[in-house]
Amino acid sequence: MTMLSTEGLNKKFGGLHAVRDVSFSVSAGEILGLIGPNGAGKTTVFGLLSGFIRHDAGKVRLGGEPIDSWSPEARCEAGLVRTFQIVRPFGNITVLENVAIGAMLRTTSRAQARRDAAEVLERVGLADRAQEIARGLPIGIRKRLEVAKALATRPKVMLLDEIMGGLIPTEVNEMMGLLRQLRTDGAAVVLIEHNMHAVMTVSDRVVVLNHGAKIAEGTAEQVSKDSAVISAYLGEDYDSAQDH
Amino acid sequence: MLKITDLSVRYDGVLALEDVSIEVHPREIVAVVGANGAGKSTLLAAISGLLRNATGSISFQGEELLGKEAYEIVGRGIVHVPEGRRLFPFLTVEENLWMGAYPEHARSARLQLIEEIYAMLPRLAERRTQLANTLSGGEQQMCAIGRGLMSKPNLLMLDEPTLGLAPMLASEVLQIADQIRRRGTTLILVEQQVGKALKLADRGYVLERGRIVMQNTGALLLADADLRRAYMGI
Repeated sequence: MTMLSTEGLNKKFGGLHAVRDVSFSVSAGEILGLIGPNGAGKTTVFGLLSGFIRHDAGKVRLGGEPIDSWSPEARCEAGLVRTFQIVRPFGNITVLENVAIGAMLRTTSRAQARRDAAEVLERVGLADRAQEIARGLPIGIRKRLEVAKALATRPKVMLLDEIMGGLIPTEVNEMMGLLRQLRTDGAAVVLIEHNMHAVMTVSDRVVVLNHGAKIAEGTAEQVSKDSAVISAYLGEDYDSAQDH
Repeated sequence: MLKITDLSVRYDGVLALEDVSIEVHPREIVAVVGANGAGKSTLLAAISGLLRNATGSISFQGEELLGKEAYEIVGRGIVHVPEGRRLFPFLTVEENLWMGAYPEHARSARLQLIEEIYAMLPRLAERRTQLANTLSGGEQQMCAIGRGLMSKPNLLMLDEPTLGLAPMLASEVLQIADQIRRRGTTLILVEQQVGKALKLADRGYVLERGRIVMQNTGALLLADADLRRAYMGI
């Protein structure tokens, strides 16, 4: 079942055509990787999908319903949540309280929100950090906290922006385990990730952006051998240089 | 000439470089390639003395550089042409070039140096009185390289000199790198244009998430299917 889809999405910043005619969809129980070189437009697409940035043209649908005019908070309430590449915890409160704020979307009881938050922390492996103040935590922990805050809103669709940056290999493996668990639970996950091994391994399908446009879509195996993708990553004449 | 041993750099607890070892021999062009965030620019910044948090060893002509100030390193003849050119936008081309001759050992030779640079890069001579911010991208890159050469380098480090340039211009800029080498200067070339860079380079290193994962001659690296894997992850 398609959870989130875009059709002909466009965004210009002045003279820069940051996103051009991008269409893709992601289904319940699917992990979609969104990859591309620096400046390809990946994070801008997340901004458009989550409503933080308004698109100039195109359609975004959540569960079949057009949400183009919806605010970010309305989208979040409808089950669409994003994380930020530069993590944004509330610095002066504890890890548990950070996550409880996300959980308050679904309950008016603070006690219930705390219980929900504790459960989420258990899932992401942060239970032992619950009472620590968020500021000053190591980056690996802050990345997981960012995911936990998103999870606490009980999303159907998660847009995860570089959640593995700065993680050590065992933490990357744990994060991949968590993503697979989310998939099993029926969430639709869109993943922007510079750790290519991780994103190519965990994604069911991969969409490749370059200069704001979609240049390929398919399984990791397919796109990794696509000549347009290889040019985007390794330079224009990598293929021809190989022949000499 | 340059021998880097077990160089590690941490930013905010994250390892940007991990036990990187690299050698550069006189008159070589050594390419350093790798995906975004692999640590290429960090490597150059560490060599240039711009980082306080590097550990390991960077030895240049037998002398340890780690812990030295950036100006002392330029004084030893290691010159860094940064990514994105970083010209002085409101100085003319010629004034930008003079700025390069700031180190003592270059200052006395500056008149001869600028003649040599104008001879090698005639476009800069044509544009000598023009403000740097009115140059095209390719011309700006040439000006940045020219400014680097004004510091009289033994080892010139170019960080993504072809960034944002059309393919023809990119090839032209890399040809300049080849000319510089033929005049006796050693080069480290950090590039996203992997095909072009490895075709030109004598040897290359592939960085992946802060570690050297492959090293070989340029030609053999190009022929190796693992190179694509280093970028694509599978």
